[in-house]
Amino acid sequence: MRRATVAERSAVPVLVLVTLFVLVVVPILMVVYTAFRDAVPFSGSESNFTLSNFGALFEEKTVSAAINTVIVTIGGTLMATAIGCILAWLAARTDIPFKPLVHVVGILPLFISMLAATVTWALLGAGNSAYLNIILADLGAPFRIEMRSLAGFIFVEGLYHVPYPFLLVYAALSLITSDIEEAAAVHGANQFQTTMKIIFPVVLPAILGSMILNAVMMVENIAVPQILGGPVGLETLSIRVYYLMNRIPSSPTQASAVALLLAAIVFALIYAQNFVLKGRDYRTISGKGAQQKVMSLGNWRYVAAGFVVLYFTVAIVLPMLALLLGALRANAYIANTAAMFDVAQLSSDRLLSITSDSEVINGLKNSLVVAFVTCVFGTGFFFILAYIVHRTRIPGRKVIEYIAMMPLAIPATLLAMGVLWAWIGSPIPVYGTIYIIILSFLPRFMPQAFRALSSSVMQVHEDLENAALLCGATRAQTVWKVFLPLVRGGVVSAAFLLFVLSLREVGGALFLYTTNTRVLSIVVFESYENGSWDFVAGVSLLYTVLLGGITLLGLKWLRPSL
Amino acid sequence: MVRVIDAMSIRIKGLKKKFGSFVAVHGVDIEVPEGKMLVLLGPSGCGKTTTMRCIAGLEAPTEGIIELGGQPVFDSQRRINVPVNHRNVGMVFQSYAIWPHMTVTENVAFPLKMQKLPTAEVEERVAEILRIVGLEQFRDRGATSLSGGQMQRVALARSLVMRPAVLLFDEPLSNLDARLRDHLRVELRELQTRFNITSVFVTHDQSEALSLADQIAVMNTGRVLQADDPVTIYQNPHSSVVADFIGYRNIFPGAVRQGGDDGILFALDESSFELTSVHPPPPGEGGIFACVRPEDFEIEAHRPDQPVKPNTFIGEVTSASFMGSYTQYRVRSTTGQVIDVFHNRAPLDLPPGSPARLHVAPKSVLLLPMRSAS
Ligand SMILES: Nc1ncnc2c1ncn2[C@@H]1O[C@H](COP(=O)(O)OP(=O)(O)OP(=O)(O)O)[C@@H](O)[C@H]1O
Ligand SMILES: [Mg+2]
Repeated sequence: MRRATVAERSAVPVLVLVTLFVLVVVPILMVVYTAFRDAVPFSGSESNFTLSNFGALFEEKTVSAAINTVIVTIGGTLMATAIGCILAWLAARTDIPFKPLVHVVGILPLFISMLAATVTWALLGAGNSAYLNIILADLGAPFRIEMRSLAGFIFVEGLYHVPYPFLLVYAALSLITSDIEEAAAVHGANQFQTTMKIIFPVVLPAILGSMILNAVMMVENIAVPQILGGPVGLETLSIRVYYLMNRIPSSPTQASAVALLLAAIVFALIYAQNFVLKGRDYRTISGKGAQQKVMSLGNWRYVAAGFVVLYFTVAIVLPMLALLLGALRANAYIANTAAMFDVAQLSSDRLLSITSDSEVINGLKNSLVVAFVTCVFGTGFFFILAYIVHRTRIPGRKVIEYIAMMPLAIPATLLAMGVLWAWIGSPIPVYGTIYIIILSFLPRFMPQAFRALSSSVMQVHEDLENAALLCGATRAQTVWKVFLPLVRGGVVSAAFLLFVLSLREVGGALFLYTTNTRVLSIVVFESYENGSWDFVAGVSLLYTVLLGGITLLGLKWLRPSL
Repeated sequence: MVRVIDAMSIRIKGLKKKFGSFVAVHGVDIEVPEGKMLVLLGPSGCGKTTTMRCIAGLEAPTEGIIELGGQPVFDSQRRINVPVNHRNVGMVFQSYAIWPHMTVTENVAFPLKMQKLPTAEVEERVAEILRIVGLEQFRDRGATSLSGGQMQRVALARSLVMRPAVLLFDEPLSNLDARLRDHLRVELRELQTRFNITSVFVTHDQSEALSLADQIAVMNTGRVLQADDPVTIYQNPHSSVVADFIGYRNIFPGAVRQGGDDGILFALDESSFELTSVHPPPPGEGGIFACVRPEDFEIEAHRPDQPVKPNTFIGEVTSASFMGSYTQYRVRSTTGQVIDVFHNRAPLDLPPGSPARLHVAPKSVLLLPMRSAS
C-alpha cells in the first residue's frame, strides 16, 4: 500500500509537469532559439548561431509597424476603457431604464468574432464603395470614412474590447455597497468627495487591470491589421511577423526575432500590471448589505439610454446589417443608397452556395472537432492542474501554476510558430493534421481556463473533502463523489469558455493549417485575400451565426466573471 | 438498539509538526484511554487543530508516533503512515462540512457506502442514527436547508454511523448560539459515553472543557503544559499559565518572603501588599505568581472603622455587572491591583465608586511558577 502511495505521489506531478513543459515551454524555447540561428533548427537544414536576425528589428517596416502597434494599442485601449466604464457605471449605479439590457449590451461583443467584426467594418467603411461612404456621398457630405487607417484600427479595436473594462469595473462597483459610501458620508464627505476618495480608488485597480488586459489583446491582434491594413500595406508588429513567415521566400528566423520584440512589449505590459496592481486588489471587500445606492439621472436618463443604444447600434446592429447585405447581394457593385436597399438586387443564391461550399463545410467540421477536443481535453487537464495547485501539497505545484499562467505573456503568432517548429520535426506525425492546431490552442487558452477552474476549486471548502476522506473514501472517490458535483457549474462554464474561445481563435492557428485542415476562422481570414467580398461576407455571416447560436445555447452557463 | 463501539485508545509520542521552518507542534505526548474524552484547551494558534489533523491523518507529522488501539498509524522512524481513509477516524468540523449537494440521508449514508455495506444494512443504520440524533423528520431534506444546530447533528451522525475507532471534534459548538451550545454539549457528552467512543475535543472555552472532559490537556505554543482530569487540573494547576486558562482570573507577580507554620508569606511586586498561602510553590521557572479564582474572593462594603483581617485587599469598585446567578465586580485596590470577583450570593449594594474590601482564604491562594519544571 505504501509503495503505491509513493509511486502515485511522484508519478502524477511528474506526468503533469512533463506535459506542461511540452505544451508551453518547448514552443517558446523553439522561437527564442530560432531567433539566434541562421536557419530553422531541427528542420533538416544546418543552422548556426547568428545575431543578424535582429537586424530585422531596425528595418523601416518593422520600426513603423512597432510605432503603429503602440498608437493603435493606446488609442484602442482608451476608447474601450471609456465606453466600458460609462456602461458599467450606468448599469451598476444609475436608474437608467432597462438596466438588465445595459448589462447584456456590455458583454455582447465578447461573443462576436473580432474577425467577422473587422470584415463588416471593411464592408461599411473601407474605400468609396463601402456602404457608409455611399450613403455619405448621397447625402452630399463633404467627408468619407476610411477604416483602412490607424484611426480605423483604433475604432474597431476600441469598439469590440469594451466587455473587459465593463465586466471588471462593473464587478468592482458592485463591491461598493452603500454602507461603505454611507460611512464616508457619516464621517463628513460630500457626494463628490465620496466619489473621488472612496469609489474611484476602489474601482481604479479594475480600470487599470482591464486596460492592460485589453492592451495585451490589441498588441497581438492579427485580424484587424490583416483585413483593414492588408490592402494598403499598413502593418502592426503581429502582422509583420505573419508576413515574414508567409512571404516567399519566407524569413522564419527574422520572424522569430520580431516575435520576441512583440513578446517583450506584452511582457512589459504584464510587468506594469503587476507593478501597478501590487497590493491593490480589493476584490475581497465584502459588504454584506448588498444594498446599492442608485443615482437618479433625471432627464439625463434618456441621454444615457441614447448612449447605450448608439453603442449597441454601431457595434452590433450596423455590422450585422452590413453582413446580411454583403452576403445577400447578387452583385457586389452598388451605385447609390437606393440601390443598396433595392430588394430586387438581393438573392440568397450565393449564400446557399456558400453553405454547400466544400471549403466552408470542411472548415466548419474542422472547427467543431478542434473546439470539441480542445474543450474536453483542456477542461480535464486544466482541472487536474487547478486541483493539484490549490488542493495538494505536492512539491512543484508553484511551478505548475507559473507555467500554466505563462502563455498570458506569449503572443499568439509566437506560440503558433513555436508549436510549428516543435512538432514539425518530431517523430509524432501531427503536422498536417488538425491535432497540431489543438496543440497550439491548449497552451493558448490555458491561463483563462486555469484561472476560471482555480476559482471554482477554491470556492469549495477543504473540509468538505476531508470529511469524505475520513469516511473512508479514497482521494479519487472524494473527487468524484464530493468535489466534482460541487464544482460542476464552474467546470461546465470553463469547458464552454474553452469551446467558444477555440471557435473564435485565429492567431493560434496561423502557420499550422494545410489546405485540408483549415478551421472556419482561417477560411474567413484567408478568403478575404483571394475571395470576392460576397464570399467573405457570407462566410463571416455563417461564422457569426454559429458563434451566436452556440453562445445562446450556453447562456445559462455563462458567468459574468468571464 | 445501540451498539457499543469497540473503543480504541489513542497514544501520541513526541509528535512534532513543522510548516516550513515554523514549528506548530513541539513534541506532544498524549494518551487517551479507551472510551474516554480528552479535551485540548488552549489559546488560538497553539496547535490544537494541527494535533487533531495529525491524528486524523490529514496532516503528516514531521516526527513522532501515533497509535490507535495499540497499532501505529503513524511512525516517522518506521516510515508508517496509514492514509486518512484507512484510519477509521471520525471528525466533526467547526464548519460542519456537510455536503451541500446531498440530502441528510445521503450525507449520513456516505461512510457506509464507502464500506460497501449492503443497502438494507445501510438504511437500517442510517435510520437508527438519525433517530438517535433527533433528525428523523429531516431525512430527505437538502443539507443546505438546515439550521446550524441541525447541520451539527448531521455531522455528528455522519461520524457516529461509521462506528469510528476514535472521534475528533474541532470546536464543533463555536458557531452556535449560547443556549444551543449548552444543549448540544450535554447531548454530545451523553452520546459519547453511551457509545463509548474514544474522543478528542478541541476548544478554547474553559467551561466547555471542564464539563466535557475525562482528561484536559492544556496547550500553549505547540506544547502540552499539563494533562489531568478536570477536578485535578482545576484545583491543582502546575503553573500560572495553566491556571490562567482554567479560570484563575487574578494572577499577581511577586516573591515568596518566608515560610511559617500558618502559611507562606508572598509579597506582590510593586506594592506593599502581602498575601498568605498554605500551598508551597511547585518547582518551575519564570518567576512565581499568586493565582486566585474570582469566586474565591469574598467581597463586602468597606467601612474604615472596622478592623481589617489579614489577606484582605481594600479598594474601590470600578465596575459591577449583574450576571444572573452571580455578580461580577472589578475592584482597584489601594495597593494597585485590579481584581475580578464573582459574588454568587444576593447582590450587594456596591455601585462603581464605592469602597470595598476583598478577603481570600490562605487555602485559596495558589503560588505557582510561570512554567512548571518538567
Ligand atoms: N498549513 C499551514 N501552513 C502554515 N502554518 C500553519 C498551517 N496550519 C497551521 N499553521 C500554523 O500553525 C499554528 C497552529 O495552528 P492551529 O490551527 O493548530 O491552531 P489552533 O490551536 O487550532 O488555533 P485556533 O484555536 O485559532 O483554531 C498557527 O500559528 C498556524 O498559523
Ligand atoms: Mg483550530
